[in-house]
Amino acid sequence: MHSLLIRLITALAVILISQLPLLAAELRLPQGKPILSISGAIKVANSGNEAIFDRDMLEALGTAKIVTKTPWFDGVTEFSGVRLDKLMDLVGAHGQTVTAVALNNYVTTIPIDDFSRYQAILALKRDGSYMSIREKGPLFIIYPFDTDPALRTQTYFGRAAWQVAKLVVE
Amino acid sequence: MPPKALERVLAAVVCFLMLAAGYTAVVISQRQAALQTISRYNAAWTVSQAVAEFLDLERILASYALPQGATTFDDVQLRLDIMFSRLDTFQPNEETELGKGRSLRQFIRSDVRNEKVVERLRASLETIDGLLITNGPSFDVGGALQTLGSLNADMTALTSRAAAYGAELSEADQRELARLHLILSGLMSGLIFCGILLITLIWWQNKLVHKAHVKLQTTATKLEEAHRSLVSQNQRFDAALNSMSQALCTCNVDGQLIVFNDQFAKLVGIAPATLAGMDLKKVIAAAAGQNTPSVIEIILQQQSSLIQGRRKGRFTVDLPDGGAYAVSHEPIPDGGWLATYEDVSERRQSEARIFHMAHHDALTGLPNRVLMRKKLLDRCAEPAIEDGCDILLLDLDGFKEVNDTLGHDIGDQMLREVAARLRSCVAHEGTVGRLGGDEFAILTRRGCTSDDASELAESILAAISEPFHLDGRNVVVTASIGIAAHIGTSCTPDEVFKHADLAMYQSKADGKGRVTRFSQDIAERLLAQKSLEADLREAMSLNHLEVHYQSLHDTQTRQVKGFEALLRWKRRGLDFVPPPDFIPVAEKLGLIDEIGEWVLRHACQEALNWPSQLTVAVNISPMQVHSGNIANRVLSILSETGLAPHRLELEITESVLLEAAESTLLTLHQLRQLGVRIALDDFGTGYSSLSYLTTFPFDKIKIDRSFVRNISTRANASSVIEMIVQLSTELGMITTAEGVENEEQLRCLQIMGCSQVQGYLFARPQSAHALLLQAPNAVVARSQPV
Repeated sequence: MHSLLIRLITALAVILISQLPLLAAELRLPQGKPILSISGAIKVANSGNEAIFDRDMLEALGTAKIVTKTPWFDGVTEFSGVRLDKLMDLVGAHGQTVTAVALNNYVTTIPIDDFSRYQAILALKRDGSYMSIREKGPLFIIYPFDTDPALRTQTYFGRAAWQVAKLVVE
Repeated sequence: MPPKALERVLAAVVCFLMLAAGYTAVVISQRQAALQTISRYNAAWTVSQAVAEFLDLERILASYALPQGATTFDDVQLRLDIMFSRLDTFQPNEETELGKGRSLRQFIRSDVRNEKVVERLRASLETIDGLLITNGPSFDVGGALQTLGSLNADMTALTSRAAAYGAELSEADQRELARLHLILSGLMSGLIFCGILLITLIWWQNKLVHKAHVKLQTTATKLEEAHRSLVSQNQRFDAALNSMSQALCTCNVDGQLIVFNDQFAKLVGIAPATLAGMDLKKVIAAAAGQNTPSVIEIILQQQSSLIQGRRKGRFTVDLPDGGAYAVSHEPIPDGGWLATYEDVSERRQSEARIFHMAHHDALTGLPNRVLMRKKLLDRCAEPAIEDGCDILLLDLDGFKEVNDTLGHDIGDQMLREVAARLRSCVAHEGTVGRLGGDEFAILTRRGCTSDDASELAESILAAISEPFHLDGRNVVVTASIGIAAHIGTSCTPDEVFKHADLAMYQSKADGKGRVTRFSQDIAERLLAQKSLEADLREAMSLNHLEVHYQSLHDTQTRQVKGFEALLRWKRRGLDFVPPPDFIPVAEKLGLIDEIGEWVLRHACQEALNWPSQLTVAVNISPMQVHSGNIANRVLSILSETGLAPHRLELEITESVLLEAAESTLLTLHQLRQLGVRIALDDFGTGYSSLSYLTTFPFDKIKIDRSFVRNISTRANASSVIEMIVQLSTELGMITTAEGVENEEQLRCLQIMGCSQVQGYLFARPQSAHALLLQAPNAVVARSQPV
């Protein structure tokens, strides 16, 4: 009887610990210059309805690399940045699409499934250097174009928006 | 079109369809890829984006220039950065792999003006950037605005050109699409055409298949009909085969039975079902009897030489049990043979009977002439032995009388008895045969000598001379025997028979009841006879026959009353042959009619030269009378010559009347009615039956010379003459005495009252020529008494 009680408590503790990130949906405010805001159908925000990120916050999520050819740069380019599906998880996105809005007001709508299917990233660096605005930075949505011919179409080239500043989940 | 070719066309059409479909897919996918890989129409958009960004920069700069503007220096910086970033995309020198053929760069390159605009834009932006770096937030906004303002028009123009370029591209793509459409349409048409062709071909093939099916069905029907007709033909064939009376079989080259009928199955004694296709050796084995070989085995043994020799042949197999089979064997072209077997047992037996009947005498059961001749023929083929003997010919003496007096039944009985005696007498010494009538022959055993034969003949004569007990009385006959042998190789059975016959007649001539062996004498006589015959045949044509005339005289007055025509044959023109020697030969040779007619004609013609009161007498042979047309002959000769019928006298002998038939008497009466006179010649010899005198009313009786010769010396002879003369006188007939040679005889005849005389006393027969040399008067004068 006693041991059963202990087992139950232990199980509950495990469940609680595993749910901790969700429960602690508290997103700290950016310390540096904010470079991205996520809005729309999200559960986690740090500035009203938006979740605002600076470079450090994004990099804190862990970075991924995509090495691929692109229509915009010569030869093979190495991009590194945040996995977009992880980012969506972080903000508790619960929509079908994500509309990316760029600094130059370019808008593109991406099905949210793309992120996990192609493991697309929100690139911060190109060939190891942070991208300035003049170099289509600071954020560039990158698909691994070399891995799938289907990606090497206008649809995905269009979805690969540069100078991204906002993501709206719908 | 033949089905094979059709199949090829079908396959070709299908291949073409596949290729067309493949090509279409390739073209479409290539086009799709080309359209999807690159943004072809984004030039205008990108340029307009750049223009928007350019205007945004201007707007921000303008807003920054305002004293209470909310715009910060960072905003200006951002817009400028964005502009720079855009400028990179216009960079014509950069060439990325994925961006190959990208419309924007092509657009920039397509026109120098565009490159200049980009160049000026870059220069302007760098100028502003320099201002910002140098002066910071307090840079010369107005200057910057002015720098940008000079580009406004260029940027708008660039947009227009981008739009035009996009439209051009779109047009080109549309053209490409149209081309593709055309290709597709062509392909579709091709497909449709091929489809139609395919359907047509399939339809055509179906038709062909249907046709073939119909043809097949027709063929099948025909085949079935042929089969039916074959079956019915087979049945007919079977029926025909089985209705044959013969057994039939056909074997192939290996000796296997191919065809046979029920009769054959019966012959071998095996059921037809078992027999079918059986090997002949097996057939023989299966048909084999307990001890004796089977019928088929015996037959096939004899047939084997024909089978092996592949020859055609017929033969008859005689079986041990008396049965017989006629076999007809014939090879057939495929190497086998066909044979029929007919049970000819009955025919064989009847043949044997017929053979026996044909070769044996029905009355006595002895071999007949045919068989004896055959046996003799065989004997003649053997070498002759020295002093040998082959045949004895026996003729009963006086059998005719037995037959005539006692009847044929008794005669037959006697012949049977003779046969029995001959058989027992001859026993193993030879073969007895009956040649016909009362003539028997004995073919002696081989190696029989002349002495043996004589001994045998004597014993036969002794046996025959024993009395025969017939119908309650004893009859005694004798036999005459002739013996002959074949000499050398030239002797034929007919000659041997003839020799024996001649010898036998010699026995008869020598007094009957004796044995004569054929000798050279007899042969010579035979030869003489032959040559006589030959000469006689020639005599007529060689004019060797002559008619001589002997006068007839009145007994009392010696006056010539007429002449008798006498035939003379001067053989080979040399010697006269007496009529008794050649007349029988002429009769035998059938020349008598011709000769008789010739004599008659000559005599009648000759008589015309004489005084009209003189008669002419002509001898007529019995054969002439019996031939039946003598009356017509006489009539025609009389009318030919013109001789008065009453001057003609025909002399016949008794033998004419011997076989006196109605027709003979009729002929004589006819002649007499013509006025011709009929005389009975040589009366007193032969049978001399007085009844003949009553049978026919003769005009004259001629008394035979044998009576006249002895008239003065033998009393009985004169009595006979006297009686004949008296009888004739009473019957109103004239009498003529023949052969009067002296006065003594004449005187006796004068006393007896004989009417006429004839003989050397008065005249010898002389030729017509000699007769005519004397005047008729002289003839008469000479006939006057001296």
